[in-house]
Amino acid sequence: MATIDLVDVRKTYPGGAEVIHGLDLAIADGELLVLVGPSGCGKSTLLRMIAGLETVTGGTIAIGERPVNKVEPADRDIAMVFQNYALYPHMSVRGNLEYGLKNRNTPRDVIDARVAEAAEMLEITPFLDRKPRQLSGGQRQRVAMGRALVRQPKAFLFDEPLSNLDAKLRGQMRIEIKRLQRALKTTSVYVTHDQMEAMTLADRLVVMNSGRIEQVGTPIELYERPATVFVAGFIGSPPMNFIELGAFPSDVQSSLSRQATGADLVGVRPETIVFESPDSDAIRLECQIELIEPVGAESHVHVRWNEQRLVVECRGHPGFSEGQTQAFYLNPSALHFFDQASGQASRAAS
Amino acid sequence: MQTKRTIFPNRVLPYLLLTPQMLITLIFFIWPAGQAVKSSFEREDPFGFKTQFIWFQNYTKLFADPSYLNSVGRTAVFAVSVTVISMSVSLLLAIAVNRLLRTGRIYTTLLVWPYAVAPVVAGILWWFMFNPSIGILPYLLSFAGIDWNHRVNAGNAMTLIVLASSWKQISYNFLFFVAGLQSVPQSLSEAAAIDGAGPFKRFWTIIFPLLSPTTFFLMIVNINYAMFDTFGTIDATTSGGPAQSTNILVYKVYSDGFLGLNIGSSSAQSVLLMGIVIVLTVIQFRWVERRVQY
Repeated sequence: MATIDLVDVRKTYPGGAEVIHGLDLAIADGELLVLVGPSGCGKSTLLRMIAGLETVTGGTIAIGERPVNKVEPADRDIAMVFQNYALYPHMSVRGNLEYGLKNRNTPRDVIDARVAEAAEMLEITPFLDRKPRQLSGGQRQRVAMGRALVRQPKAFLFDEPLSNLDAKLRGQMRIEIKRLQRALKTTSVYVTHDQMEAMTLADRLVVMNSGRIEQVGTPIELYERPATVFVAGFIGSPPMNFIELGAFPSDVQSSLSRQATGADLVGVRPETIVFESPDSDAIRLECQIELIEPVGAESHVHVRWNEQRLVVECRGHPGFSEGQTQAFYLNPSALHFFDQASGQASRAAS
Repeated sequence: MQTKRTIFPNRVLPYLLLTPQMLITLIFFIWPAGQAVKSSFEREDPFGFKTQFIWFQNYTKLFADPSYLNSVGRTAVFAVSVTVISMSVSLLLAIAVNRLLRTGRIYTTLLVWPYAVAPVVAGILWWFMFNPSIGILPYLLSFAGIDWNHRVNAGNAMTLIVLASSWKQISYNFLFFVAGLQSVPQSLSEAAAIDGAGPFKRFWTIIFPLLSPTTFFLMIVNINYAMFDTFGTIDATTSGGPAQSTNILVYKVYSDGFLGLNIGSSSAQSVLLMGIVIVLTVIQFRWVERRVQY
C-alpha cells in the first residue's frame, strides 16, 4: 500500500529527444489509475520509469513517499504485468510464481502459502505444474497476474496486459482485474490505448498526448467535461463530432457565442443528436444519410451536413435508408465549446 | 521441416540433377572411407608390395599401444579445453556486444574475421607470436618469470595449440551466441529484474537456460572442430611434438600413416575417428529435432 508521486518528471533519450515533458501526477493509496493515450504518447515509457526499467532524466518519482529515482527495480517493491506476459518459458507455472519470492529469500512455507493463495484466487491451481507453453492465452495472462500477486507489492503496474487477448476474454479479464484490485486495495497503474478499457477500469483516468497530460479525472468527468479537443475526441465511442462555429447559420452562431465567448469549435456527442424535434431551441440540421452501421442495441448513422461529416448514435433501428435526407437536432445545452488555437475547452455557461 | 515437392515431367531429369553431388560424395567420401575400412583389416609393407589380411589385429594392437592411449588422453584434454575456452570467451563477447545498440554491428563484423583465416595461417600466426626465439609473447612472459618454449615444454605446446584453435573458433560461436541472445525477449530480463534478480542471477537463471539449445549445438560442433578441423593449426605450430605431447588423434592418423607409413594402423585409427563423428552427428541430429523444448 503506497502512494505514487511524480513531480516534474522528464525523460530525454541520449539522442536529445524529450518524450516526457515535465509531468506532475499524484496517485492515491489504493487507487486504480489508468494512463490512456494513442501509441507513442509516452504512457508506456512513464510506466517503465515508475518500474525503474527506464531512467528518469528529470524530476522525481516517489513510491510511498520514498524517492526512487536511483533505486533498482527490484528494490522498489512493485510488480509489473507485461503485454507479452514475459513468463519464464523454462519454468513451470509454480516456478514462475515462486521466482520473485525465492530471490528475496522468502521462507519456504510462506512461499507455498502465497502461491497456493494466488493460484486459488486466479483459478490456476490445476496448471501449477505445467509449462507456460502448455497454457492458453487467457491462462498465461492469469499466471502473469499471479506472479505479481504473490509478491504482495506496494503497487501493481500493468502494461497493456489485455491487448494480446481476443475481445471476449479481454472483457472477462478486465472485470477480473477490477475485482482483484478492489479486493486487494493495492495502488495500481494501468496503461492502455483502448479508451473503452480505460473508462471501465479506472478510478481515475489520465489522458496523455505526446508526452504531456491532457486531463486527469474520473471517467465520467472526462466524458462530460473534456478539458481539451484531444480528450473530447479520444474519450467516447463513436468519437465526438466537431463542427466549426462558422459553419452554422448566423442566428445560431450568435446564440451559441452567448453560451461560450471566444469559442470557435463546437463538439457534439453522437448520442446527443436526435431526429425527433425535442423543443423549439434545438438546432436543426438537414442531413443526408451516407451509411448506417447497426451494432445491436443502437445504430451508428453516418451523415453529411453541408460539407461536414457527422456520426449520430440512435437507439435501436430507426428505419432510415442510405441516401435519404433527414433532419437531425442538436440540443444546445449538450454542446461542448473549444478554442481551436489553444485546443482548450471554453466552459459552457450551463 | 516443410519442403516444397517438385514434380518433374521427365523421369530421368531428377537423377541427372542428383548425379554431380552423388559422384562427389562417392569419389571423395564413400570410396576413401571404404578404402580406410578395408586397409584397417590389412597389413601392408611400407613400399606397398605385399598386403596381408589380418582381421582385427590393427585394432587390438592400437588399444594395447600406450602411445595411442596417450593420444586419446591428449585429444580429450585438447577438445575439452578448446570447447570450454572458445565457448566461454565467445559467450562473454556476445553478452558484451548484445548490450550495445548502435556499435554492436561493427564489433560483430570485427569479431567474425578470425573465422575467415585458414587454420594453417592461424597456426603460423600464433607460432610467430609464441616463437621462443623471435616471438613477442615469450619475450613479455620472460618479465613475469615464465620461460616459454613450446618446443621442449609439453604444457607450453598444448597451451599454444589450445589458444590457436580456440581463437579461430570464437568467431563462429560468437555469431551463434549473439543470435541466441537476441532471441531471448528483453521483457524476460526486465520481469526478472523486477522479481529481484541481480544481473548475474538473471543471466544464470533466465538467459542461460534459454540459451541452452544454442549452447548444446555449439558444444557438439566445437568438439567436432577440436577433434577434426585443427589438423592445419597443429601441423603449422607443433607438428604433434614435443615428445607426442600434442599428437591428437587426427594428427596421429597423419603422422602414423603418411610419415610412419603404417597404413593399416592409420586406417584403423581413422575408422575409429569416423565412428566418433557418426556418434556426435547422431546425437546432434536427434537433439536438433526436439530443440524447441526447454
